[in-house]
Amino acid sequence: MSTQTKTHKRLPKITLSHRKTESWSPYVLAGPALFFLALFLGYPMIRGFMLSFTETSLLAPQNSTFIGLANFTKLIAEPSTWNAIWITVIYAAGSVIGALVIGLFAALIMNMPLKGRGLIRSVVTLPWAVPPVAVALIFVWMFNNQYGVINFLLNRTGFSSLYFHWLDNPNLALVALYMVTIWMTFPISALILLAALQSVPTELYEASRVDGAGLFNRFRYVTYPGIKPRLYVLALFLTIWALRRFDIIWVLTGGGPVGKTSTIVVQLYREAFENQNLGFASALGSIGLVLSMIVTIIYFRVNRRVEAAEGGTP
Amino acid sequence: MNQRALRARVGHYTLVALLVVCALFPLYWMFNTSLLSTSNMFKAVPDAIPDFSRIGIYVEVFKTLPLAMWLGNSLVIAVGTTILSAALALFAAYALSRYRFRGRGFIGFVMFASQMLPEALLLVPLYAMFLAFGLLNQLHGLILVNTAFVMPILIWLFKGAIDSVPVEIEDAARIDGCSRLKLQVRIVWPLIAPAIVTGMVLSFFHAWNEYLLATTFLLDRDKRPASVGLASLIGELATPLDQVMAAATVYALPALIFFLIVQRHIVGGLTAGGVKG
Repeated sequence: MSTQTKTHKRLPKITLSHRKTESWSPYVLAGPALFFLALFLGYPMIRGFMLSFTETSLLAPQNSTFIGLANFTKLIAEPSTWNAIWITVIYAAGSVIGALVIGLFAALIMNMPLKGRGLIRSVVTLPWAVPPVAVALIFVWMFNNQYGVINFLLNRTGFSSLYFHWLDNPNLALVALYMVTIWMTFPISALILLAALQSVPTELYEASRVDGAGLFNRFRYVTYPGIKPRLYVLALFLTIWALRRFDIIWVLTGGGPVGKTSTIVVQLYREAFENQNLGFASALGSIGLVLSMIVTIIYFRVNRRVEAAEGGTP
Repeated sequence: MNQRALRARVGHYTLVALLVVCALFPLYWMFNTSLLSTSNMFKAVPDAIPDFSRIGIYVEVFKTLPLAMWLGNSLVIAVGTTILSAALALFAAYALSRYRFRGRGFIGFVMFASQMLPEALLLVPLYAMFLAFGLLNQLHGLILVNTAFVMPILIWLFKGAIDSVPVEIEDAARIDGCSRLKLQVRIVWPLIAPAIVTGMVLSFFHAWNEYLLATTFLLDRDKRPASVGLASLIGELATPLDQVMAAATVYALPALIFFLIVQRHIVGGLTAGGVKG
């Protein structure tokens, strides 16, 4: 933080000395990157938005007809749309809360004095590095109803005597997805929260202990305020990733059974590449984008209120 | 009191052990399954100790599956994405860090906003674009689009690193007659080497892991990267499970090793620059 403020203070000086001779320099330097973003993210986004007002087939995308809001009215009338929005929301909520809670739990455990903490931290955060498709392959096998190790362990430990069809059971498929998603994302939560925990000054803990604060109060009044800013950013990113996630869901369940894991992104892929209905798919995509935007706006609102309440210190 | 401390410590280590087991078990199970013979795989009580006498499966799997080709394609895409995204991001980050210019704030916003875009929304227009440019079924098409998705994160990471390099160092070099470009390459880049390495690793594995774009744009079997190739094994029964798991292990291993090597830097970079995408 201190270095950053220093740099900011110095910046006007360099700007002044270089403005005349090198005013084009930043554009030359940033130009290629911007061109790239404009071509492969900006243009497609606008195109996608425009496509949602047309009827376009995958086989001949150049012949598209403008149909106004017809895709959106069709979308609203379609129960599968509402299902997809609902599934997206509960998938994101469940997997984000799970990753935060378990990540925080893991971070608290790793923050205690511990022999070989570096090694343990590396090992615990390993799942984050596994490619999603490999994760899917592992879990498809682990969720196998007859020979899968998850059912075996549940039976052995006496939690259940049933052999669940995890990925084919409409009530369990989403639970299975939660388990996989949380396994993949809790490490990054733990890493970031651990770094946040370590930035909380130890004197505060000592002071609170002297004041006789219990474990819960210490967490509530010392730990939580200290990690809150990073916790919020983390929650924002976990949510956006959950809203975008495709690979794991597609490979594990394909959106099934009976649409119980069909998030907006999965539904969109189906509409576009199986039903070849590009306009309709793009309209769905616009809804997904709006959802991401709502989450981001909520984040900034909450964040600003928190900062205001704390006297403007970020 | 002493007894209580001991009990607390035992409790703590039990939790740590539980955490480690939860994190590692699926990986262990993947490796364990890769070493099971088909007859041992489908038993009421699974074998939980890897049978190292069957380690030859890791040679065999390269013969029965086109794994070498898949990994080769993944490698081409990942290396291309890494080089292109790091190069573009380094120059852009330098501009954002060292210059005040019109549109600077807008670029910052665009970089953040790009993280919200679902790839799937762009899939359809990108498909049409790839069709028009003849980029379908081309590995370099994937390099281009992966670069676009991962570059904002690298710009963010590199900008944070360049911000912390004192401007005086550059001023001194300028007086010695170093050109701005040379100065960037010779002085700034070496100073932010850890961030560059972190960014390149993130970029490499973004492309190495990527599935959605690859499965949409690479329709040709010979162009399949490992993510698409391996995903095609799910639900098909022709390939024995030990080989599927061996292939998954081979595919995941580079990511795991690299992560362990650069983990410290990644954590530093992520917590300094915000979060990764």
